[in-house]
Amino acid sequence: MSIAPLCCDMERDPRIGVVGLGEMGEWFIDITLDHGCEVAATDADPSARDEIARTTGVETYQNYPDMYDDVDAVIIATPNKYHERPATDAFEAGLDVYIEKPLAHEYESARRIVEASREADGIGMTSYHYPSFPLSKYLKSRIDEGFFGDVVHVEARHVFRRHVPHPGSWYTSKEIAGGGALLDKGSFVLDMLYYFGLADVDAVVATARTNFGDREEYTSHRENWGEPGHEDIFDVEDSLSGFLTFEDGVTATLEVAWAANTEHEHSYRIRGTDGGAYLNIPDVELRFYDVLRESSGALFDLDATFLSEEEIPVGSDSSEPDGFSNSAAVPETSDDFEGIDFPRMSLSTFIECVRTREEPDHGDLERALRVQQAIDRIYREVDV
Amino acid sequence: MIAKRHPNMGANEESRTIRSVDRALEILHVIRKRGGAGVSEVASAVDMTPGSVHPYLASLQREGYLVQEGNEYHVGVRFLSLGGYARKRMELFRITRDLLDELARETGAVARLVVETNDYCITLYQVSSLDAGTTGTYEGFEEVMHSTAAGKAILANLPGERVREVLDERGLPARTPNTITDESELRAELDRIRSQGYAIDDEECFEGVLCVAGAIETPGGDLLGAVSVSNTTDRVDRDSFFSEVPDRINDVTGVIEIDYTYSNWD
Repeated sequence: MSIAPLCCDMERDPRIGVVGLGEMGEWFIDITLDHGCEVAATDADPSARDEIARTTGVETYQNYPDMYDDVDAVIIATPNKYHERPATDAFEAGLDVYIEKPLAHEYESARRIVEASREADGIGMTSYHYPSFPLSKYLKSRIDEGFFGDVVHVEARHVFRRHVPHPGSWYTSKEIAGGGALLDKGSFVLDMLYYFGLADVDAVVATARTNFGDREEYTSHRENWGEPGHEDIFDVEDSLSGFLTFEDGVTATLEVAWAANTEHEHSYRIRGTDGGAYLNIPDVELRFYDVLRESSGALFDLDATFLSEEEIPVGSDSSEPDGFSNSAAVPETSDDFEGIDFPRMSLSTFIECVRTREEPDHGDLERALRVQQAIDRIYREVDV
Repeated sequence: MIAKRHPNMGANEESRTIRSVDRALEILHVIRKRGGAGVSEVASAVDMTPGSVHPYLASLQREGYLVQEGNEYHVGVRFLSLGGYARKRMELFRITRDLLDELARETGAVARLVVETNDYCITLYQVSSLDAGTTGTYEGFEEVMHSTAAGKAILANLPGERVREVLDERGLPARTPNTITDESELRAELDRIRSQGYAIDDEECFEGVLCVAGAIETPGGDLLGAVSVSNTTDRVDRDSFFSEVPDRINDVTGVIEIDYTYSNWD
């Protein structure tokens, strides 16, 4: 896909249309306004349009095609089942398109979106943002340079204690969202596994559960993400445990949960024939497990840390990504993960790419389609 | 009864035409309610002479809207062509059908889509699991609203003045000993339905039949109808039916509301 220049005056701020005015849509409007963009908004639900017009003052459209005539780029934030038409129509209209993850509620719908993007000139991007996290990039660079030898196994966990999104709304509907914790959180994990370079999922053993989502005392828990939905739908899993075998023989354990009586964790343990690593995203921790190969085979650990520019040792290996050092074991960083606003970072990347016509560094639609295929594959095993 | 809805008929040509249509419809409903009727029976039910009723019957029979079996007239299947068309053009029906098929399969029961028309609730679509008992309803089944779960779910979401009209027009006739026939009792029931989000019918329309229903309402507040699940008391345990089915109904009505909002949006 080649990216065409912005159709009009490159000097002005891009005009961005937000399609779907739920919580994510509202959030995206705030972020785009912060970027100085002209913002328009649309939703099929007239009450959502009225509310947004009242609270933000942005121009609203009853029908999205009318809005497409007036904008340079769109952000698709409708319920998952209804990503496809506004997304494919936007690609066909030559717009840049940012699709809130997952691409769709099921693989075939996602495939049609990605096919439309292949034919299109505009930028296509989705919000699988964890590969843009600096520690993720650093880990990926070590994989690519062969530090691990052959990667043989990954333990991946994306587990929350209480994080059911808008319980009872379309988020917890199999028909509209397309799935539960696997689709919502597992999709991030699969995007990371594919980012690390794993082949497609080949075989799956998995169990899905609904232990919390339909219990009032859990769904109304204040630490859940968002208000309960008035529709009162809940027919998806709130946790899933799986064992995946990839086509290249690599295996992975997958633990995802919206709610579980255990510690909140989003982590990847990568085991290779020559070395290993542990990436913990909320704790901003990346540790490498290395072996002194030349002598005794002694084992040692190295922690990668963020370094400010002044802290980078003079003469450090310039082949390493900017801002990192793993030349010595150092204490764990105390960087505040909560301060990293991933959705804002991701959408900011899109807006910047709309301005500069550069390819985004994450949210690749082809990888997102592989993610969607893997999720369908896992659900097929679970639904039996 | 239908003529009552048009009380201002005068003697001019147009009004006479309307009156004859009303008469024809009244005759059809008499024949349906009696499970078939002869000329004199129809005539006395609609307060006409057999001689003046006969041309109506002959016209309707000629067009396939009535069939004659011996001395009795019955409603003809040609009405299905109108009913089928009326249903086919409804977006709500298109959206709902597959979801109800799945709902019937999952619950092992009878699933129905019910809409309000002319102060009655009418079954627009019905699908039955092989495991379900025979519930007495069918596609096109029409019933007073207060005697069914779907009808009560709809009543509970209608504006107060519409509820008043329905009660004035249709009354609170008993269908079984369990039918609510007292208005204050019905109003308390509608309050309960609004607070719990679903309605139940505990053998109130047919003896031996249980039903749970939930209303379908768009985010903009339009009341579209109701989804119900019913089964017979010999096939299910009453307590588990009334405790397990409401969640499944809510799952489906919620999906219909979202689908209805977004599926034709452009």
